[in-house]
Amino acid sequence: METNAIKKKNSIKVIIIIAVILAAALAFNAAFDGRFLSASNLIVLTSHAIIPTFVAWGMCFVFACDYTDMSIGAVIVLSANMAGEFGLMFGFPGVILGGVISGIVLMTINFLIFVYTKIPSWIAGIGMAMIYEAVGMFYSNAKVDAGMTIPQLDGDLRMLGRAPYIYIIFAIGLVLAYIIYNRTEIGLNIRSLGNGIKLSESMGINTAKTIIMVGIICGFFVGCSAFLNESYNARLSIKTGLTSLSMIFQPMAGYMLASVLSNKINIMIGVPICSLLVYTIFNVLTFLGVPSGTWQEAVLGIIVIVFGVLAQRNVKKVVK
Amino acid sequence: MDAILQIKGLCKYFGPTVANNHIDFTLERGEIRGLAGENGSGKSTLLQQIAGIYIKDEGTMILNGKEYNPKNPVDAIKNKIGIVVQELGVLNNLPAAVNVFAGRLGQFKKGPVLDMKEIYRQAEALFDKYGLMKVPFEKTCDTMHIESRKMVELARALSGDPDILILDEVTQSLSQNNRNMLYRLISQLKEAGKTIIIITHDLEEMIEICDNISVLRDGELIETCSCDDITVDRIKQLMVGREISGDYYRTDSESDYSDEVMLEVKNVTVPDEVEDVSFELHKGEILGFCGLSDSGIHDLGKVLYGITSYKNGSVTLKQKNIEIRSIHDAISNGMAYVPKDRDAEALMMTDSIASNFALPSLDELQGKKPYISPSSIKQMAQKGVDDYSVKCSSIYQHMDGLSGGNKQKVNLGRWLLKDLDVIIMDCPTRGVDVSVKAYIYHVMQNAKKNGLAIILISDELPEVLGMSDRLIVMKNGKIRGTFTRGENFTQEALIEVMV
Repeated sequence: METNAIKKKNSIKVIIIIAVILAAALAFNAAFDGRFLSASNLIVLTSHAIIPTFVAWGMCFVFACDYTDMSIGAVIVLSANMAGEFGLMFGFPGVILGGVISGIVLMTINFLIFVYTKIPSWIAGIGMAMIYEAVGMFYSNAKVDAGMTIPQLDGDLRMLGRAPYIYIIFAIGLVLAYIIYNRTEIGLNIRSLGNGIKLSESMGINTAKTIIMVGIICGFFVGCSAFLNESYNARLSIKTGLTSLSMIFQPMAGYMLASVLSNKINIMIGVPICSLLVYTIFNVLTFLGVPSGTWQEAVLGIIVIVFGVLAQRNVKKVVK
Repeated sequence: MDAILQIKGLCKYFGPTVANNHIDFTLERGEIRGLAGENGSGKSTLLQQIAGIYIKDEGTMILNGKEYNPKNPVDAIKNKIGIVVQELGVLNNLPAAVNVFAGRLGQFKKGPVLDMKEIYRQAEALFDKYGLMKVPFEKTCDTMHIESRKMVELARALSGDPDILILDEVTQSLSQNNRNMLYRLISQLKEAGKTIIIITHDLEEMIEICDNISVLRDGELIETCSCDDITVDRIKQLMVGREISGDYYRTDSESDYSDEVMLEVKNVTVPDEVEDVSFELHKGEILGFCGLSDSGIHDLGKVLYGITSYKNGSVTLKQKNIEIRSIHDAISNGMAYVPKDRDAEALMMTDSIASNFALPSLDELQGKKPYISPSSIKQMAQKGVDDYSVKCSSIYQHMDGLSGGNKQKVNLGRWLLKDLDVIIMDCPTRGVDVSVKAYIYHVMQNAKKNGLAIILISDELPEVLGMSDRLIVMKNGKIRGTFTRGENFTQEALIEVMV
């Protein structure tokens, strides 16, 4: 049983962690002549962290029910392009609905495949990633054949990716993610699947319906990430050769660190904090002059492994 | 007589196996019915069909005069039938209170959102109503002991205010105080006109609690008899189809072991689990540990084997003068551990009997070769199956297809095939039938004769009294008393120290 002494000890640990992070931030700020904690850098940091945060929220639902979906990166690419395509046609509603609806449709297709084919989800996910990448390529080629390129949002249409709109969307996302995961029947049913389909069924939970709902909910968050990505970067190039897989590593690192801290802080709140922390590490590496594309990706790989190991501590089964 | 449930010609098949064969069964309102039978006799299958966990293949069920065909447990709960299943059935990553109402959370919706406070409040009210041992409702079940999780399951079964409550080997997971609580609950429910079906391998307990007992053998209902005129020996005879003679336990009344100390435990402390525990275990000794729930006996087993690390004190194998700090230290120096929760903590359920037998002995099987030959695994597993009379189709059968008793034979046998000095057994007869129980006690006595030092942790007082040379009673993580066989070695004396 947890005693007051243990609770006090845990609180002290949390305070120490926060103090260390603050001290490190102040130290970096001093080392980089105040540039690290400057308003412009903080806006860049938080805005960049919000995009993977939405993906990590989606992943929380996928991992909670013991599934793995490797096609999320490819879904983001296609959904972002749909956000661009419809955004150019219908303005902001097109940006939002194009991204979200594409995300929901594609992720629902994935989960329908997981449920009805019974193929291990990580295998089916890789297959779907290949298909979605190919679809993206056909789409891109069709555009070129028609004398166009993949959509690129112009100035005003990119507003959703800038402050304060990106923060408003983030706040709405946080409330929705927290409530769905912790305070809804479907959220708790999804988490029950993590104990095995058989047990959930014996509790009277409609497991097939619940798994498909995971696709819909995850698709919603992935779709949000996609339209934010498109808004922030103006365009998202088509990926091939399974390179879309690399898009899930940063959110995955945020998810893993959040799951390490989930005993202390609710995972849905932990995800944005940890995504920010992960992105901050990249920011520091950039300040230090570490080249992106090689060493920064190597550091991301190390972060994923380290956080994975931390997430696995005191857990009997292997972390997904 | 007022029949609440009538079953006619009920059949259930799992592939070629006939689990229930044309069972006719009538249950009266307000009756407490015991179901007895060997492991694999079809008791749990029968009850799980009544509770909607399995769908029947043939036959009819009439509940309160109407045909009853539950599609799932929630359907059964709606029809006022609740069940607590033999193996643990909780959603580990969800709070205890959510587990109580899982599958029926819709009733707590306020708009699209659940009223979590109401879930916790209703769970607490349910525990209060039935006098169940309190659990932390907001904590997830994976942070709880097996007994607390059983309480959650019991609360779940009671949450539908059942007219028929099915308890499948519940007492096996409970310590004495919670067993007493359950007995009180059963009589309270009977007074309220509820019907209860109980499976327990403790036949004395069954005769004590029940009005009637039905005996199943090989999937068929053999006989239903009144508890007023039946004996334990008669039930055993009906269960196995022949007479079973002799006692389960040791027949000697004095302790008998060597002076040679095998394991020395000095002032071991693990915060919130055990405190300042010291004792010695001798060659050829069976040292029993008992206590109420949260007494620390099960935690101590894990500490001795190096699963839980201790802060202060020492656990030393005296003959080798080696301190045990990890599982590796324990295994490589002739120690073994048989945990209480065999499915989750001991066996590879989706792997073969052969692999499970081989697992603790991989080093010995490999020897100096660069690989483990399949024939050596086969030979070892076959010896294990033969020596410990494991009922199986072949050594390559998967563990999850075995009955509880046969799983435990593999679990225990794979260690006893090795050259051991010390074995820790935590509730070794949990969920096994009388014949397997008798067999395990027989195996323990043989091992004792051969000089093995045994720590027997048990929630069943007759078991520790019947088998131990010395007995240590724990309370709140501390040793409260030590008893020696032949000197005031009675249940009453133990209970006085335990409570």
